[in-house]
Amino acid sequence: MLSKLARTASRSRVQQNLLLPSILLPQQPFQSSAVTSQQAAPAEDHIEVKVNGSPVQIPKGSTVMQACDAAGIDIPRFCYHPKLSIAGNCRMCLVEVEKSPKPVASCAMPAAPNMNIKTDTDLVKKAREGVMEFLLINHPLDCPICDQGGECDLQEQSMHFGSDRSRFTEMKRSVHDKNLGPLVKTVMTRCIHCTRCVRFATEVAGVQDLGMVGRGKDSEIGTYIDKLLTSELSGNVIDLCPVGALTSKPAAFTYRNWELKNTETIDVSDAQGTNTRVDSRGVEVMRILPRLNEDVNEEWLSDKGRFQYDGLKQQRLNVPLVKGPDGAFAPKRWPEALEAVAQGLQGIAGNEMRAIAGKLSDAESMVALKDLMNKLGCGNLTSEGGFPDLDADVRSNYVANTTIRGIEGADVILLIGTNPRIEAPVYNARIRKTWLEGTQIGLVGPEYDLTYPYTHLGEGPDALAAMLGGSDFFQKLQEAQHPAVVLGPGILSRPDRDTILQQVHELVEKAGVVKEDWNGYNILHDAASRVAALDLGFLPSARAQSAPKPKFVYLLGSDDYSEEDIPEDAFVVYQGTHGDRGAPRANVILPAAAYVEKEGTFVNFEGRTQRTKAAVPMVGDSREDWRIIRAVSEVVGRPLPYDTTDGVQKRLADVAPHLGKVDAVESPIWLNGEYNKAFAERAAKAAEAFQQPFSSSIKEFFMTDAISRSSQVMARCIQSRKTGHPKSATHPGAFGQDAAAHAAADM
Amino acid sequence: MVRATLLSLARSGQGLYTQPEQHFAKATPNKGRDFFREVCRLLPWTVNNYKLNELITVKELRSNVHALFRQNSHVTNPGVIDVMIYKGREELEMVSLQHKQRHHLITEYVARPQELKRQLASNPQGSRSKFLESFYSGAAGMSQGV
Ligand code: SF4
Ligand code: FES
Repeated sequence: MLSKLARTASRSRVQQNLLLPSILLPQQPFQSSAVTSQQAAPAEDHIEVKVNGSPVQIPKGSTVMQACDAAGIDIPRFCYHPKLSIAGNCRMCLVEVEKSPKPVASCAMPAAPNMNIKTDTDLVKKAREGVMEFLLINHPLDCPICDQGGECDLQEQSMHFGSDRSRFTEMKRSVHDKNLGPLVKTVMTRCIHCTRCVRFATEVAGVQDLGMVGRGKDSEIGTYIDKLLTSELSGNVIDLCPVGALTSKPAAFTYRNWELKNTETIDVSDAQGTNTRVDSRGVEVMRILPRLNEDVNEEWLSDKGRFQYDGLKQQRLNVPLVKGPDGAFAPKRWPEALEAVAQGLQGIAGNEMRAIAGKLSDAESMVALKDLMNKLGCGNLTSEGGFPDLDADVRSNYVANTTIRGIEGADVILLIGTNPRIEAPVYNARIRKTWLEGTQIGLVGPEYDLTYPYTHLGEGPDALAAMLGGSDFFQKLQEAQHPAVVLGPGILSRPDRDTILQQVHELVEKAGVVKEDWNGYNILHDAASRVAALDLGFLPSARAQSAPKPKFVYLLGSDDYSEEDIPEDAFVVYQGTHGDRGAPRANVILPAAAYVEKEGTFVNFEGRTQRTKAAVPMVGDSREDWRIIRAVSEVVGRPLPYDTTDGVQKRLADVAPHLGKVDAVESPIWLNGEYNKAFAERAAKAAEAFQQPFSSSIKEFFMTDAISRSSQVMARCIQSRKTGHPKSATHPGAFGQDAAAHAAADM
Repeated sequence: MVRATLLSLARSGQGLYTQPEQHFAKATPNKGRDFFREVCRLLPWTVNNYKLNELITVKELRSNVHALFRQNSHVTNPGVIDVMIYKGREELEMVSLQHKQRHHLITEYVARPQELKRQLASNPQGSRSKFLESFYSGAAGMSQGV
């Protein structure tokens, strides 16, 4: 008897202390009761309710679940997600409310003043047990072979709230698996119909591909016809699915979540700086998940950032290579390779050199390379596929001044020459969110499917000019309180950029896009290194324009340089991670660390400084980028004055102070007047705007840099997008299951 | 071999020789050398017994062991020398009792000294900075992952 009592006591403690997985926990915008109860009178827009007898203050319009969260009590849940609409269909969140005859679904029930909510009564316990029992009727017992095992909400909650035995003896129902393409694996029998995935696809991703068909026990989740999930954010449904119905296809059967080491870092596949968590086992990256950061990516991560990691294992450079006289590369040790660099540099004047930074370069390596080149008397520094002559004196000129979060406050948004859906998919989801809240959106540029409707205003510069003449949309922009303009990276690399920027500025000026407390002028970038390069002044000096043809070119992870940047006879040093385009052209190849293998500083397009962390060791004999440059500097006899990570980061902060403030956005000063004046002068010199329409700078979303180009998963995505049919993506032996079957067939 | 050793010792002017005014002045100068000889006496047996002759000759092995001794040539504190000799003798005993296995000997006395010699050859005057040294050896900046 005594022991039984003890057991029940400990059980209820477990219930109260239960920690739900963080993805389920909503933001807690409310103060806990302990804090608020000290305040004298409740604020106007707050109401008081009682949760398990203790009073809490919550904002009007909150739900019962939010009240419980504010009181620090976790309510079990499956279908509720703070970033999605409320469905109220899983019934797991039942609580007792005084004077209500039945338990109520707390996620869907608005809290009323003086409500008395109870979460620890027998009724609640029994209700939860009942819901669990119903859910488990048709849920298969395949946890041992389920990839969600160990991080499954259903598993956890049935442990805590379920009954300890089953009364079910019938057959379980089974459901056909759906093929959603190369990224998301489905085992639909496991689905508990929470509809989180459906709500995500329709609300956040903006594609109407997923839905529920059938009724009752015949209901199924799927793409109504055999169709691909065509979204750049599709991978997020894997995180959202509380059970193992949707899991990662490329990583199927490769890990158990408790074997993984978590490293909190950031993504560099686009310029957004999405916060991620890299899960690794040993020397291998097993998966990449988004981290919650309301200011940057909320909870989402693009498919490229999530699934390109298999490219980190392909085509890697792991030893220094030097091209011999016969044109073949020979593996060398570091001293010999650096000696070869020094030899290549011999007798070359400073103005005959050039350095090109790649899309994935971190700020440390760029500042080191800049210092080294300057020491050697070279000022010819460019970023690949970029706009070397962009004016970087004024910071507000090249960042998203409104900030990523700030764009939510805009009431009219004008997109110019951009396709945010592929340039920054997570940012596009934000724009979609503002559209859902009633923001008007206009686009100048080719028509794309942006996942939300917009007013199409024309394709090229002429449409911009027409707008300036006064159009409906221009009027809207003028009348808006918080108008925003978003310029794509495609515009900045056009030859007639200055003229177009001049026009845009006229528009910004006339429409009052920049106001006292609102700066609606945004530039979108497509490469993770770009803003840091501009911040550091990794740009050609004034004299570089008149420099002779370079005889020595240093490629810092640059694979997308343009042919004319490297003359035929130039001596080329390639420092990078992959044998992509730059490496074969080089005379000396220096293997460097990829973004998951080093600590590196990146600045996203709103100007936020963030750092990556090393999750896995470097491959082979490669080294951190800035250290390689430091070593080169010593071998060529011009040692840089810093040789520790702290040292180089201090140098960064000296060159651009905000690079020392990690995780912060420094809002730039808007130098309106001077800026426009400078532009007017330059534009007068520049030619007429070409009439060719604007275009996005990204041709293929899934392959933008050396890592994604080496990734097989990304290649499969492209293949399946071409046909729009999911089956085309599977080639034999592609994934765990198939591979095993294939091997068996071969034997 | 001995001549080469003496020559290299003479060139660097240090090593098995310690300052006379030191505490254990009388005892130390020969201690390291004596131990080295003790080791040398066991080398032919070792090569034979561990079947190392496919990889290395006795002469080469001796020079490898010598390189390892030379690595500590800067140590002058007699106490430290004593401890090192003590540990060395422990090692010797493990080899002679065959508590070590073939692959241990290969990594420690064949592969590692060769690497050491190569480094020495590429950086004869020790002219490199600490940074470059650790850069080449891969010690610096290795990620802390795993
Ligand atoms: S597939 Fe997963 S997320 Fe979608 S409804 Fe089923 S359980 Fe919910
Ligand atoms: S969480 Fe409330 S009904 Fe699903």
